[in-house]
Amino acid sequence: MIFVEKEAYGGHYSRSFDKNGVLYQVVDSYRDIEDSKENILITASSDRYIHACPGTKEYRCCNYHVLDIVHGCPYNCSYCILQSYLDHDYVKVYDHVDEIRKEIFTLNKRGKFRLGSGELSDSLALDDTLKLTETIIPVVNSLENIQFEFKTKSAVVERLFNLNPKNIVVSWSLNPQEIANNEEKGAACLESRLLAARLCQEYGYKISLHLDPLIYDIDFPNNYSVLIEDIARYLNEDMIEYISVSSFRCMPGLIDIIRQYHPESNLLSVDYIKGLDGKMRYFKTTRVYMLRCVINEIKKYFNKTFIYFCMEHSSIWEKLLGDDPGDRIEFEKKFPWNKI
Amino acid sequence: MILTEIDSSKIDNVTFNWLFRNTSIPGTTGVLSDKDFTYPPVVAHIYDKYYQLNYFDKISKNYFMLEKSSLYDAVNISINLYNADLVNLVELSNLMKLADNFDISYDKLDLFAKKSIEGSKNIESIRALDDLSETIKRYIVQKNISLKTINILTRIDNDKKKIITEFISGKNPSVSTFKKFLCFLYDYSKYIKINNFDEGYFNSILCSVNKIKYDVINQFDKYKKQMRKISITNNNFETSELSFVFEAGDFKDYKACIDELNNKKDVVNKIYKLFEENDIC
Repeated sequence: MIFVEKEAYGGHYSRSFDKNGVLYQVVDSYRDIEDSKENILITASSDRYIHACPGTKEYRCCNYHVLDIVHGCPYNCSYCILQSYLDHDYVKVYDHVDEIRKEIFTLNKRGKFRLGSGELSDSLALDDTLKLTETIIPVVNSLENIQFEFKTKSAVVERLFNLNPKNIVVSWSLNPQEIANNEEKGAACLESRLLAARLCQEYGYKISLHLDPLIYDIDFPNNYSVLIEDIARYLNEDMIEYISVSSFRCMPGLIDIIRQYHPESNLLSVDYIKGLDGKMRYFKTTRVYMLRCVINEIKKYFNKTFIYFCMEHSSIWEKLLGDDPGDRIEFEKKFPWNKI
Repeated sequence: MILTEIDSSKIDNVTFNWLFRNTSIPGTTGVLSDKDFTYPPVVAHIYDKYYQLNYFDKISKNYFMLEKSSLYDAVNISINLYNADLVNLVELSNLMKLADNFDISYDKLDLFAKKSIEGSKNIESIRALDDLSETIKRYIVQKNISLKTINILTRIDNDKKKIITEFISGKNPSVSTFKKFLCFLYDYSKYIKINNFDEGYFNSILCSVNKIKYDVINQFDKYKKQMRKISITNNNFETSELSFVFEAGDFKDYKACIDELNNKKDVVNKIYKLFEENDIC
């Protein structure tokens, strides 16, 4: 169900809903709606929408920037940080589209950036309703310094096929189907995600993949080997912009949430260590084992693609990828977008 | 409320007894000595039955009588006859059961509103306390275990609850050790095939499921133990950095530590080799 705050009525979204015959209800505030993932609230409140990804100095961070227009996600992934980060389950959408456009223009003036909307939401899961692709893509197309990433676990891509793929990357978070069944409730199945990715490639979009979070179990090597083989079967390497790989990590409080809401999760029966940044991580030997397995499999099929680790220690970079990417600014230079 | 004489054999002093006081706090037991027994007990007259609302162990000649009171009033008065602020989670569970028995809604009792107990999971957890052993209940009350921990405890399979009882009886654990153990039982339940407390068995599960980690840690600990005066620590194996710590009270001590550092170089070398072989370096 869609709700529009009274103060947002007459704004971008309610006008768009009226025009397209989308049903919605006007409410005074979030207090008037049930706090459920099935509910979308268009809010008149405002925020700063673009932020640098909050990295830590102990682990390598790539200076990615995030555009947080939507807070909340309809999917119910066990490992999702939003469960502890947000204080609501409903999907909150900011109505100030013009402000958002302005912030993108301002960022473009500051230099070359990779920007994405997949931090506090799934970029495409609600695109049929929110049509954010139609809002963002024309803006990005008109600029030279912004590469925009739509990151998703959905197969909602139809709207992209009426838009210009210039400077746009569509990316998928992927896990083996067995793991997705257990840990990614509500998300599209692996085959649908890969098929959607292939269609995007065929249309002309650059694709990126996030094998993140890797989740360990006894069949880890086999599960991920099959996943990467599947990816290679569906996708053309020439249109893959980058692949990120990283193992599960989280703030300590998330484990209690997983225990409460996802008792079937494989993430529970793990004796994590507290990393240098205070986050819970797999023991380093286990992490290297997981990353090495996955990197070796990826390299069997994707020789040219830029591969990086998200928030990993420099020693692991050196061991598995040959060098330390350095601080944010240095790391960023390694991305294909920053080499053009 | 009137003072009246009632034949005690006609009074039900069991049904309303929701008390489960923390006997470790003086003055809160609810079981009174004769000198504490200042006033006659209170009795509610409901549906032609007499229910004793306090001093449940006491038989008296005279009682304060609540005539034609509602069940809600009777329960609320019973709670107020004790210190409502001291009502613990086990007693809340007992009060819920009492409400259920009389088919009245627990959430209309003043106490539940006052304690702001909300959320179906919390309510179900409190309700489920009734099924726990006396040992576990006593521990919860004495250690003032949080509702968050109770939520884990009550979701552990019933056939594993005996393990918790034995754990408490045998170890009288601290609150943090208790929570850690509950999390272990919950998180590793698919691996646990016994219903009694066996520390060695549980350790073997933890080590086998996390074999990569414990193989490294156990070997590291073996090397560490070869140092007598020097303690070696590491930052959770995220880097290969080691800290060597010693304390010297005089020059003789200092020299002994330096000698150990010098003589046990091979131990340190083995540790770094272990790190190298296990991708810590």
